[in-house]
Amino acid sequence: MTPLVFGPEDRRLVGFYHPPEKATPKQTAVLMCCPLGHEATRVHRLYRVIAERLARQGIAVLRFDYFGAGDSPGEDIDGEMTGWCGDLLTAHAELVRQSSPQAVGWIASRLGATLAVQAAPDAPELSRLILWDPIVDGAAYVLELRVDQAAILDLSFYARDKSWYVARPEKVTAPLTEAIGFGIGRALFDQISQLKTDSLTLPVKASTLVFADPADTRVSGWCAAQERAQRPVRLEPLVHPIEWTSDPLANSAIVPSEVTQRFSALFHEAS
Amino acid sequence: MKHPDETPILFGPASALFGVVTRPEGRTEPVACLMFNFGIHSHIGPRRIQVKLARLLAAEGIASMRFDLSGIGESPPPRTALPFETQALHDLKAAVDHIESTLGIRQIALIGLCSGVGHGLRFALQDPRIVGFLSFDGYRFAGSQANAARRLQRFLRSPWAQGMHWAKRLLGIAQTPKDNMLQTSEPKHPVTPADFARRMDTLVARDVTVHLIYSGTNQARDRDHDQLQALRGAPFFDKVRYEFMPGVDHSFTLLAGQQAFFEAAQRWMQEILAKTQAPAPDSARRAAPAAAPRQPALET
Repeated sequence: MTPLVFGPEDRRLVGFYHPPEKATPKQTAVLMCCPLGHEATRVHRLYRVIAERLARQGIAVLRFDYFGAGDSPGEDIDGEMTGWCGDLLTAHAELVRQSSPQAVGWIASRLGATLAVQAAPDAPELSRLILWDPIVDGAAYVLELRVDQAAILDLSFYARDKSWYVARPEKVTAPLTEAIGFGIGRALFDQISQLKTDSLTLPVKASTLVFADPADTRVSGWCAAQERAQRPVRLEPLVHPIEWTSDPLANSAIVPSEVTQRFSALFHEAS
Repeated sequence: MKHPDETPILFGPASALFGVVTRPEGRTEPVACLMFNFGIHSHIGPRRIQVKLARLLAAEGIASMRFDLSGIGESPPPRTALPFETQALHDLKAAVDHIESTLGIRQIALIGLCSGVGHGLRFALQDPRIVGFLSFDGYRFAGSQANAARRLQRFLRSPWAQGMHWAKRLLGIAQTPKDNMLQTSEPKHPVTPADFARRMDTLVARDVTVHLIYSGTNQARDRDHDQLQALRGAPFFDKVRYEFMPGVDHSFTLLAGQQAFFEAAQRWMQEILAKTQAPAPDSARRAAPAAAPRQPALET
């Protein structure tokens, strides 16, 4: 793994490049796109393990932090989706510069998957989109973040304090200013809130594989709508033990084999 | 806030360890801050707090490094077969050596969060370059009274769930949880209150600035240093800073809690810097070596 700092001077990004570990590398490279805030922390180790496995298969992989996330410059509240889509394209260009592939695939999860859908039309060489539990309904996601934050705080403290305790978080309508330890700027809140399934259209040029829980009717409905619109998409069930908003602790799922095997096998098949 | 110079690096034996060095613009203070893992969280820390703290410290002229121990975050597993605790000491030494060789700073303030407290304290005892040690939710010796209050509070919050839990405990189905969080990760060498007191005495004698912080996850209230109740009156007690932060949870979930922690860490750093400008007390001069060895040997 080689740490990288790349991108324009006023919007540098930190990334981790995994060069292919085979004498004859494959012609495909993979960009891994993180989810939002705490979920990126949650998935960090899993992403690293998948990246290492792909690199051992001869595939170049780049993981990176959006501006205002992880090690990249910027504060939490500097993050917003338009800028992050640009970051994704910057990282894509860096991966192409590093590995000169013939084709590039993106692995993206949660809000990162949503960003990937939005940025995909502007990415040359992109041939494959792997979306895992994509966020296709922003209002539902905001609600999920509110409820989970309240539950985490309730579990974390012995005494309920009026400064944080919310008895019915699902009833709150004020803009979200923080979620599970990360600041949320007004622009990002508005962008997430406005996300709807009919505003997310898959690209025609890249084949898309969506992994989601069969019980997630929002994602299955969105995939069905994309299929009707003649978009090349396939939905596969993936039930996994990761709770996106839980801490990566020793007693919680961190690198579930059902996920690593599915993701590693995908690119194995493609070779 | 102007963005400081941050450089991701590979360092240590075989350049295998990963870290990020943050350098302030302009004048750099003679003490650097070292941060590492909170459990299996990567070097950015829970909720990215180590990135945020590094930048706040840089604004005050303090350089820092956040890094991953072998096998955690971006650092690969070690090639040696050392026990994890021993490897962690080697990794911490490699980080301090790197700061010394690249930044020319020989005085280090070390932050240990949760399980990092165990590694950090063991290392601080061995390496005289450590001049400050901040422990967050580390060793806790609350005693029966504080624990009884804690259990009562828990019971009042969730009587049904706690009732079931206690029924299982009484029937022997559930295990007794350890009073001290770190005992679960240090089952072979549990640190007793007497051990902890001796270690604190050693650091205090060396004039290490120690700050012990406890979050509201341990207990709702803290009347009189309840988290160290078993050690009240120990000689080290009035020579270390003890702080109970009821608005901070163990994982720093609230931004307000993060801010409170940052302010505490900044006060601790300023206290250390103030000492570097003042003559050392006699006790520290007696305890510390005349000059810090460049490559202190590790006791493993």
